[in-house]
Amino acid sequence: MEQQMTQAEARNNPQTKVMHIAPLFRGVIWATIGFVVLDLLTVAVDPFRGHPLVTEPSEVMGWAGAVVGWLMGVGGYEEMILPLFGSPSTWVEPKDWRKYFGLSTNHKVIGIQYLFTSSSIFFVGGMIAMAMRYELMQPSMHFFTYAGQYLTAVGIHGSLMMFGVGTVVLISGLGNYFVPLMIGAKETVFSRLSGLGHWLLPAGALTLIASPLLGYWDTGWRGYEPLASQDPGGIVFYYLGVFAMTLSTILASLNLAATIIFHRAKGMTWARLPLFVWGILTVSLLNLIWQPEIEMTFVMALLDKLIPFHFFDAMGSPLTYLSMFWLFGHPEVYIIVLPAFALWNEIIPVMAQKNLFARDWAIIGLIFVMMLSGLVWAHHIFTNMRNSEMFPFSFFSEMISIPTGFSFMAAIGTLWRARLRLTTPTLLVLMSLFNFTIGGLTGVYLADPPINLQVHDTFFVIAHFHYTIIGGMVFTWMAAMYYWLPKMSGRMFNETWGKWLALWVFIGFNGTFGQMFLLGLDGMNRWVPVYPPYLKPLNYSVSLFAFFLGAGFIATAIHILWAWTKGPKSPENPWHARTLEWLTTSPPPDDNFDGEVEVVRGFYRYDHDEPSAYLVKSPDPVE
Amino acid sequence: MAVTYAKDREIAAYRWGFRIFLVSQSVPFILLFSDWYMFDGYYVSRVVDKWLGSAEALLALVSGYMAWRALQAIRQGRLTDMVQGFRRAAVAGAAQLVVLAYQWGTRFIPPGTRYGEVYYTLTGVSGFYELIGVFVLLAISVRAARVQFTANFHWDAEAAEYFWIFQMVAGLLSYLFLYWI
Repeated sequence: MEQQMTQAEARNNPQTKVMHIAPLFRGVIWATIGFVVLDLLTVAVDPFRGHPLVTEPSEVMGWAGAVVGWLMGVGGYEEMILPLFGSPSTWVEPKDWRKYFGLSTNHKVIGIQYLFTSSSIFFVGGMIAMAMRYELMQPSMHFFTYAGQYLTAVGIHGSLMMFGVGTVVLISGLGNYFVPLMIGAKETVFSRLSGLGHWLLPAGALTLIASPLLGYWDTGWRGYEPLASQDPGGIVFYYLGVFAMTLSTILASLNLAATIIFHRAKGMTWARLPLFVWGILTVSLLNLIWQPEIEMTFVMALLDKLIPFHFFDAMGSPLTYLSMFWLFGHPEVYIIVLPAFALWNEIIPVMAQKNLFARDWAIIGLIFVMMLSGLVWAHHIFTNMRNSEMFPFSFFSEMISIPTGFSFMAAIGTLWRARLRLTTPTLLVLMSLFNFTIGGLTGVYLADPPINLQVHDTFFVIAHFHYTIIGGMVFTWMAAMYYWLPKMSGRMFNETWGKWLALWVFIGFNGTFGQMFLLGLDGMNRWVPVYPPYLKPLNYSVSLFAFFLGAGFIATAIHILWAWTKGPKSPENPWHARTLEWLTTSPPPDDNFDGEVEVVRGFYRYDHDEPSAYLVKSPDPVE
Repeated sequence: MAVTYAKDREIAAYRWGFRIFLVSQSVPFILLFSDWYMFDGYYVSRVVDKWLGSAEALLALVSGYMAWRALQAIRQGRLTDMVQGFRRAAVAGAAQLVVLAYQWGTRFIPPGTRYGEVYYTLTGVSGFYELIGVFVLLAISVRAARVQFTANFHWDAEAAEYFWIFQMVAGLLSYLFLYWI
């Protein structure tokens, strides 16, 4: 029996296959074949839709064929299909740099794949933002030719940043890399699924980026109806692209949640679980609920577009779409920012070498934000509601600031009278705390109907959510990259450069989005490439700061890449942290730990010198 | 070491993970069922063929029962019965899809009506899950010829049965919404 079961194992099978072409290249070929075959089949079955080769239904079917071909080509065929039917996997994971360019089952490789893909998406989304800001330097159209082009740029920027970066980097990226290490696990539960899931992310992002080829869509990342059902075919690729990216997030979240629950090391009780792991667990559960919700909503919107049905157009109920979108949309914001809250309190005690203040309350805060996040959504559509209906949503939107405040309380309590080491990660966390305070406080304002109705659809709202997303999450992402760079690469960055670059980005960010509050209060509307001339000076200034910010992000990325490859060698535990990822070598070996981990006490107390965990070395194999 | 994954803890992780995945996959159905637009002033169309709908529901129940019996068989170590059970369940599921395809093909229910939109969406989504379920049942029955399932080792069969029961319950709830409520 054992022999038979061994055959079913995908790993370490002697009948391995030498790949004669790179998996990525094979994926592209199979994706092309999948698209052409299903596209033509659909056109043959349903021919009278205005074009002989490409119609909206054929786009959808062709896309499905392309995604399946892509996933099979990058390794899914050997790793998923063959084992499903009982044949041994013939997939070989390279040991060199090529491991990043095909399906992997190593959570650290998957984490780096996600980080790379997501950073690339961040770059593309950022360049689109630069184009938007260039357009807005003048009150009339001078860069984009049609308003639809500008609005499509806004939509692609928002969708890429939300679904390809915000939901991804801290969870699928750093979460995949560090959660197993932080809980003392050697592997994840659904490693093949997780490896396959990553390749949905570039597929989804490329779909979104390709959407203008099928016509400009003008709904933004929200896909508002009934506008969407009247849009050209590009909107179809918006639905499909987001579908692929959210599916990637679901698979990553499923794997991480199961790993946290079942692969914790001996002694890693719930009371000792690191803050970042708590953050990932809470958002994974949110992802498992809300990402399928938005997927189904988009399926219905797609049916409205293709058949056409009338769920959400004027014959149906556009307000239903708005509600269904924001039912997902607001938890999405907390999905993005909860891991950042957790990371603040992961980094600050280490840099202060001081006990984490009110650790339990920091965790309770994460859990209550998770629970309340599903009760605040309608504050996005106050303009479409009766006064009496606004009250509960206004109430809960303000109440959610209380558990959010617990994270601030733990951070500030830890900082109180601490002898803080002002390193680059510390500086970025402090900046993140500052930025999110502004984003959070303006969020409380926006939860109040009188102000909400006044500034609805203005740049005030744009400034608010960029303060929470960039100010809260992206600054923390940079902090975490610097904090964990020695672990991932074994090398150290340049502190002086790190701090100057952090300051550069901080000034660029606050200069850009701080002024957007004023722009919004002055009457600058969202979703318009033209505006009244009196708004030009402020818009011009915002754009200059935006370019400065964009250059700062690029400089930061260059610095991190330089440190990763050429930086000086780092000590094993440069920050004197106590969490488990520092118990192993840098970078960690394939199976994470050279032995079994046993946790004996919590990780956030610095009032003693006893270790938090022991590594019981594996005995040498008997000759 | 090759059978490490078969340890109890690993199986428990797979089981929990798969269950939570199915809970996650129930969200689209909950959304469709509870969408207040769809059931605001909702009605059951008079042109709907309740006999065909009932035949579909009956096939779903029979198929679910067969899959359940197949799992019971492998729990008692009867591999052949398990394979046959899953294949019969897949055939019953495929028959249900044929009935659904017939109903779609005849267009008894006009797609341009409120009821029609709900009908084609719900049956389309539940039919999609059922199609995947049929594929999984057949894949597991092929897999059983190459990987020996035993009374103690049959997680793959258990997962297939979970998925099949999940889509059966979703399909039956859709049937209740579409034909009776």
